[in-house]
Amino acid sequence: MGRFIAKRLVGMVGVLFAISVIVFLIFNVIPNSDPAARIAGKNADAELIARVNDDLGLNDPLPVQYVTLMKEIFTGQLTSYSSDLNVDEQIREGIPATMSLCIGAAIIWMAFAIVFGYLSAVRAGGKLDTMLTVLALIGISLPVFWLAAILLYYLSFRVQLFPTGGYVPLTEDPAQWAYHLLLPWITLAVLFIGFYSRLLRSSMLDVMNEDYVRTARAKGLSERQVRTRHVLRNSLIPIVTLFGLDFGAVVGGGAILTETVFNINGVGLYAGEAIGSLDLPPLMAVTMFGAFFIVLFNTIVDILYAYLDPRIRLGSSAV
Amino acid sequence: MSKAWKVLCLGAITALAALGLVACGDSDSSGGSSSGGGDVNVTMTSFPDYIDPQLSYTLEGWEVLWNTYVPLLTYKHEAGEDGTQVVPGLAEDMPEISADGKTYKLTLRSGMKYSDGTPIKASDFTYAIERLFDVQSGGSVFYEGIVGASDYVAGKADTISGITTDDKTGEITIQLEDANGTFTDLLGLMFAAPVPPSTPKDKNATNDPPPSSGPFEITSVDAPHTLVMERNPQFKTVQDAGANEVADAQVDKITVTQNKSNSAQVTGVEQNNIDFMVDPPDADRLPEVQARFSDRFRLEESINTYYFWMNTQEPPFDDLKVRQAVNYAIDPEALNRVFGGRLAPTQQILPPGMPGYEQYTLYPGPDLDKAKQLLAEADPSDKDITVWTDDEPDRKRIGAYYQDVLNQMGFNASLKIIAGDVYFTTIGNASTPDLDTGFSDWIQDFPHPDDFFRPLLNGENNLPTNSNNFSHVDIPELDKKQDELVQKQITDEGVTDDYAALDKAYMEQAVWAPYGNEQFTTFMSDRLDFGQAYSHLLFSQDYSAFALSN
Repeated sequence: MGRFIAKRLVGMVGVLFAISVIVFLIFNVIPNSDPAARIAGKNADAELIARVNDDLGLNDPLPVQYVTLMKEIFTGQLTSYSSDLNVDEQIREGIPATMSLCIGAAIIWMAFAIVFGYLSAVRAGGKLDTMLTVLALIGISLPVFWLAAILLYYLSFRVQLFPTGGYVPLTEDPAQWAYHLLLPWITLAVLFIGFYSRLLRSSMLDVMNEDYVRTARAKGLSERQVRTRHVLRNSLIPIVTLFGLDFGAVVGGGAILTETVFNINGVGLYAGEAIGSLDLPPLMAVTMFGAFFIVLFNTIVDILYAYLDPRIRLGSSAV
Repeated sequence: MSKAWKVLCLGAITALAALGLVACGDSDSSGGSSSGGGDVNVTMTSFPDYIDPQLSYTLEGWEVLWNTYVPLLTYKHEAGEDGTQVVPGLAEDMPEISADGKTYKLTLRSGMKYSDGTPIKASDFTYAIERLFDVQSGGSVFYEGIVGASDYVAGKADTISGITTDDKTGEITIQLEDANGTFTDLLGLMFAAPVPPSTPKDKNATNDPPPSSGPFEITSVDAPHTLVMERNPQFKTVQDAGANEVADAQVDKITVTQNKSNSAQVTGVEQNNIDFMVDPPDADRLPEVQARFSDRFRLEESINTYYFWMNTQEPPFDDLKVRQAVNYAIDPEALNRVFGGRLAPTQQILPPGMPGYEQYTLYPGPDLDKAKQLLAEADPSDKDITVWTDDEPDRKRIGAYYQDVLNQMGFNASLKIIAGDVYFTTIGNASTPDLDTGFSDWIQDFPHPDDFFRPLLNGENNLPTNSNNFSHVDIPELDKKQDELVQKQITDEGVTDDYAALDKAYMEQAVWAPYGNEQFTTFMSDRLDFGQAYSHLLFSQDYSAFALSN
């Protein structure tokens, strides 16, 4: 098991390295994205631009620039080209808001997806199943930015039931924290509720036909016990796998739109601004941050699987 | 332990670990709520670029810093054209300018202190100008004409020899390499505001701004989220020294918060949760605001020009008739709709409010028939053209409109949309292919007509990279006229008339197709005294005029 985890962690570092190189190269081949010219202002002359270039080390060879950039990321010295602010600090400040948004949304989407998926599966073909299927499809089809705008317009602007955005730290006022995040949580969760409930329905219908379910029934267990203890639990395994990946992706950048529309000063909003201004240092750091979470949760799922099913970790030596 | 139980346990551990991340950090609220009394909360879509007088070069930054850092000279705290008048700030009087226009003498008022109690000294001006070069400010180019500045930048001198000061008498003498009629305006910009030597000389001071000399001081900054301005406890020393043109604050505290959602800001002001939003409401909310809140909303003049540039060195726009045809074809009213009614139509280079502005119309229209007729007469060989614009929503629509007009005229125009942050460096790079025509705008740096003509139309600024002369205009006799005029003071007899004539001369050559001057807005909560608030032509909203309504 230890070897398996070690292999996975080495792979994780390799993936992060590859991502950092690709992002760095893409940025450097974009035409006319000369940060020095932008920093020097609209009236800058060639001398000023040259001095800014020198100061930023942009005249160095690309490998040197890459190494310097990575060193600055890992030593917390990286500063934004456009605002001159420390990037690591900005990301650190944004993590609580992003994690608050993502965890809350994840709890909502998992809870509703399990209830809807379960009901849909046990009433497969019935009216309730049809209704939940339609709801799920609507949820999957609603673009986040549209749903966010509609919720804000009706619930914040018209009815004035919710604030128009912003974020209150959990440590400052837990009630306001939840109040400000309720609409963003719903917005972010709706898509996943639809998707996960469909997946759970399908998984449960497959498991219901398994031999061990028939055996459970033959042992005399009630239908409710069979569904919850045997069918639901076993159907959750693919859901948890997917959840690990999706949660990593949402933390690592999937919340950009939600954070932007609701003005939540999280990592997603910071990433959106960095993309908009083609500001390499935050772009690189945020990409690494996102990639780290995606790869981390992917690795956790792999390890979890290996823990649950020894055939996976023994797979290579068994061949 | 069953599989499902293990799955749930590990899921719970992951969730708890993630919650730990939430609890261990902290972040400020973006709500920007005020606590009553003399507190005001302001929102802006983009946080100021820097909270540093030598570095800030955006409207958002200048709006905050104008009432925080006072230069030797400043601009009158008045609405309209009166606000473009340069008046004494920390200096006792306007500069004494030598006959050759190369030497400026000023005297610093005595007894003034920064907000931390440090005395304001004449040598702080030298420190500020040197700092401007050391931090590689975008504004440093304006002060390169000071004698010794280039040696200082090159490291050949420890100080700028062209600035001499006497801390005892407060005398400041500035020597220029050439006479420069804009220099009085430049002394009124925040770039030249004195700061104490405790300010880091070669570093951005945003996170710890220098002590202030204006009615407000910056007491906290959490860039790029929020900043707090409070009354400067030492401002009385500036007032007592006779700086009557520097207006005092009327509220105790202003909290400025970045809010990326324009719509949320509009709703916030409507519901009186936000006192003032810096940016105009988006076009989709503007009609509603104008209709329902006319008692606390108005349009405000600003000194800017929106125009289409045309590459005068390459076909088809190297032909005067083609450029004139475009000017006839453009319909400013159609473009005004893109701005939600915030665009005052124009067909000239200088905007209203700028000295030298005199209204005229050379190409009455829109007249598409006349445009087609001129194009037929020109019969350009190359009708496949590229229209450039950036990806901001309004500008995309402006580009699409322009493309449509050109196609109606008979061109085969294709639209090229690129990211806003690299747009101007791209079209300002002569090696970029297919630079035919496209969108541009110019907002004044200071209210002097040279700030429009020299960077945008002077042949010497037709640079290979980072050029602002997007039309590649190169008319030597008009360049010569610019050079003559800039040697004079704007107040000299006949100078503004000459600038008006220069404007017309360029438009007779149809070097641009100007179509409008964007208007800004004032939209405030019921809490603020709307009648007293005003938008300054150079620095936008004057925060010293904020007062709570009775």
